[in-house]
Amino acid sequence: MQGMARMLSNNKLRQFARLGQRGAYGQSMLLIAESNEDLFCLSADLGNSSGLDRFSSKYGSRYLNLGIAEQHLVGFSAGLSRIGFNCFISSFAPFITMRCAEQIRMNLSYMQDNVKLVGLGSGVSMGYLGNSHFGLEDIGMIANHNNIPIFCPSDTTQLYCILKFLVELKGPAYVRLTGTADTSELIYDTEIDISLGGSSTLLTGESLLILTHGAITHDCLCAIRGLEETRQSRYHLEDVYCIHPIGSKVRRLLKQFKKILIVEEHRKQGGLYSLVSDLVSDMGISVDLRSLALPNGFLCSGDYSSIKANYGLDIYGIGKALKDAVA
Amino acid sequence: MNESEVKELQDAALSVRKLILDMAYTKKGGHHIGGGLSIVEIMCYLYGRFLNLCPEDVESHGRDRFILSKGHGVLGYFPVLYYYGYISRKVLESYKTPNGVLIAHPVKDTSLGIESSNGSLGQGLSYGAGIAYGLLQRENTARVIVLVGDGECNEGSIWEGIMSATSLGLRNLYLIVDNNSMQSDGTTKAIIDQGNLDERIASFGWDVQVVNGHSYNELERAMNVQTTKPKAIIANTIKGKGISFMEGNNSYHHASLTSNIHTQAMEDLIARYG
Repeated sequence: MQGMARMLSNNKLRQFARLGQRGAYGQSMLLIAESNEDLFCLSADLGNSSGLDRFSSKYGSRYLNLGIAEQHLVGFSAGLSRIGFNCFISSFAPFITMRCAEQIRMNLSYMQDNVKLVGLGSGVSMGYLGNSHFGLEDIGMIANHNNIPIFCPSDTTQLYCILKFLVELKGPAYVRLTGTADTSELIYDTEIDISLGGSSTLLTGESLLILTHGAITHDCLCAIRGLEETRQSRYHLEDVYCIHPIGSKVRRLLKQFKKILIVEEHRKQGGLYSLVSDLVSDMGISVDLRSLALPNGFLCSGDYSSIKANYGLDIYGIGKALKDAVA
Repeated sequence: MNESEVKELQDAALSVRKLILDMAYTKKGGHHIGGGLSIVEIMCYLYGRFLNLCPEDVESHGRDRFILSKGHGVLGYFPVLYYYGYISRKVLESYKTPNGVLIAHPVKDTSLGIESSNGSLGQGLSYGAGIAYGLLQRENTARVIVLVGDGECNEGSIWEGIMSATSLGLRNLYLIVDNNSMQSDGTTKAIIDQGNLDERIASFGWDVQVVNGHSYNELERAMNVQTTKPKAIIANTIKGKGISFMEGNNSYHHASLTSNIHTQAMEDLIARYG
């Protein structure tokens, strides 16, 4: 049986927000599984870290922990999808995108098998666990493959909507989860429509186009709201939840604005900045394209907020970049 | 298997080896000849006798699934698909022609009976295990057969698959190792000694049978052992099997054939098996 997953109640919506994206992933799958019998969740021994504990007890026959073996996880899930199962597989962002990169290339990209990769704790949200667990290059890893769309939800409501969309989308995709439970903020208090190549406009303005994705979208929103009221109207804030492929709406915006700032919790190389750079070059347009991103090299550890602050990706740092960009 | 059944498979193997030599000669450039020739009996046994598959309904729900994890073994695969009626002469002849349907590795096309794209070693077992698990979930009695090379077993991902298969109780999964004792750069013994490959796999809880991979009766016995465990068949084979001067000669791991060598090889093959 396939059907539309149910709408989030107000209570659920707020409960998901408290859990943060990782916990909300598993809870979302629990709801979506009610109306999708073929939905199958797999993990490489990080089921609990994916919030899948309740899913695995309720839908034991549709959950597998394949052990700490990401290469096997990807190949196995691709095979399982061939029998009609709708596979979602999760592990920390570097492990699900790099340890098994060639399995992704053969099975998901080349054969286009119906498996969704879910990267947990991407960006610097793993805090003190450090560089081994940070997702600094995962967007670049996946964007380098042919035909694997990349979704980066900015909050837990959008995450739920993206997952509902992906259950219906045949073929592979990567979902990049960022943020932590204790810093989780709600941007959307109602469900939104999701599309391939889609984005959501959060603020409109004429001087600077800000393209962002993931949990720091909320920091961008706060940074703009923290500016003097007369300045606020200069900024257009676009939540690019599908960063690959980039859709027609963002393409239109790129033509409208002369100055663009890309704010992302990822290295500049391989991230949205790189994807947009390639695109504006292909489009033959000349824009002042700026980046506020994580620097190259390996990064310091700390709690999530302090790492973001260290690299200018907190509200203060983003606010400063916004002012610098629009004198 | 009675004598005439064996003879039928032997005839198939002879035809397949002739096709292999012709393909390797007519299509210029190098070909993985040795590892194609070593699997001929295994492939003829599978397609001629074992697999529940038919060319008229190649994508049937209940079909057995075969995966050539050692994807470079296509010379032992495409001619077998042709011989048993899965692909046309035209498709076979497209092998290694510009934009042809068939290239030097399998590319998934279930309408041609090719279940998966391979070429990157070490990936077929996990893929097959996922299919096998899905079939069990659906209460589908079809079986999954994955053919790997012994050199391919250097890949860690093969062992991830071996460990997992018993935990998941994949009684419908068959792993055949083409144990031709050579890999690209030399003997498997000199590179990673897996002399006790059977014990290693058995230690993970598989049923393991060691057979002469060129003997139909031994393959038949091993493939039909009644057990609820995942089944591994270590098929001891000879790389380059069938052509005297190619047997155990690793210079034919990947090689091209001149007109002279092609003629010599064909004469040798016919003299021995014709």
